[in-house]
Amino acid sequence: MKLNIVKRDQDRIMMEVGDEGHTLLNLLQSSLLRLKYVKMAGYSKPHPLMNKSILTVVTNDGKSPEEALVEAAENAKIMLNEFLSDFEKQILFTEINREKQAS
Amino acid sequence: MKVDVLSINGDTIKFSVKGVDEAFANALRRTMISEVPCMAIDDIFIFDNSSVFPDEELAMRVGFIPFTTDLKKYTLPEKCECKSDLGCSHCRAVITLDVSADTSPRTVYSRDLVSEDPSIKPVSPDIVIAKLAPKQAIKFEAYARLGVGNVHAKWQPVSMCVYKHETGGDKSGGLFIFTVESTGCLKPEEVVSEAVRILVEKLNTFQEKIRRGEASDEIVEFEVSEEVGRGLYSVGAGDFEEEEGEESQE
Repeated sequence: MKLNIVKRDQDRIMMEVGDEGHTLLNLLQSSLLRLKYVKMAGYSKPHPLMNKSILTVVTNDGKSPEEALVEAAENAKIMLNEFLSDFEKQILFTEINREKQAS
Repeated sequence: MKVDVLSINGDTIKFSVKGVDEAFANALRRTMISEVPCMAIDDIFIFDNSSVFPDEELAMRVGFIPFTTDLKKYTLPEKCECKSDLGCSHCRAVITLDVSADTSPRTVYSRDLVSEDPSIKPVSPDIVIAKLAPKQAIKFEAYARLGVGNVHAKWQPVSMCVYKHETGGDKSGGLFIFTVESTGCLKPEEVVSEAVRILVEKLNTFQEKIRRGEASDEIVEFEVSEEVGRGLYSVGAGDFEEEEGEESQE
């Protein structure tokens, strides 16, 4: 992953994200929009064949956009880890059930 | 969040997730399709091929055979410490084929492939590679490597990976019912958990970069990945130079 800040104002950040597309940025955008102090968050792909996306975040309440990005990524990670532990528990449960049925 | 495994049937897993949004479900789906690594034959050295297939066609057919994958044992070639073109025992498995039809026609199956590593073998022994007429032969050495689906579809670990969004009319975000069918290279549940780990890893890298303020990388807009030049379809790269040379002579 490559990052390059194109514009950085008081409460706005516009950065290029290399080698990443809708997979990560859509997840990040939805996570950003859940934060109360994020005024605007969005991304675009300049061209479908180009392997970069442009991510824009605008915040208010005196919080910096970097803070918003770190917190949004953290929240997405918490959600993913919660899913993973639940999922693996369920798999273990299914396997135990299967072994019981077999024996 | 509520996760329910509805069924695991052979290579297919069905599970439902409640309490997540569309972005989460879609990120998971897209990662499973194009970012989870699996084994496939990448480079191939053909010593003898008198079958009706041209070498490229044979290479493509062999490339698309799914191989069982051990993600703990192997690393992606670009992340391997060996940094060599041919790879080392941590990033490639050598697979050989040496068959010939003597007096009667013969069908070459994936079971004829000989792998140096018993944990890397075709998921099914019955995949037809070619049919040989009497006295025809195929002999090659191939390197199976880990790769990801967005470089080439042969590295896609899932044949079907979809979700259905049941909104249910309330404000909870609804229920996502996933159906994931593995090609057999990995267990279907492994594909799902590996995808989550990859996403978490990506978010970690992103966070670290932002925290450290490392945000002035050079981004090449139309980067051709190394894999494309080195892979099974490396045709045409040398031809351009020749053409240019001819023009300048005129």
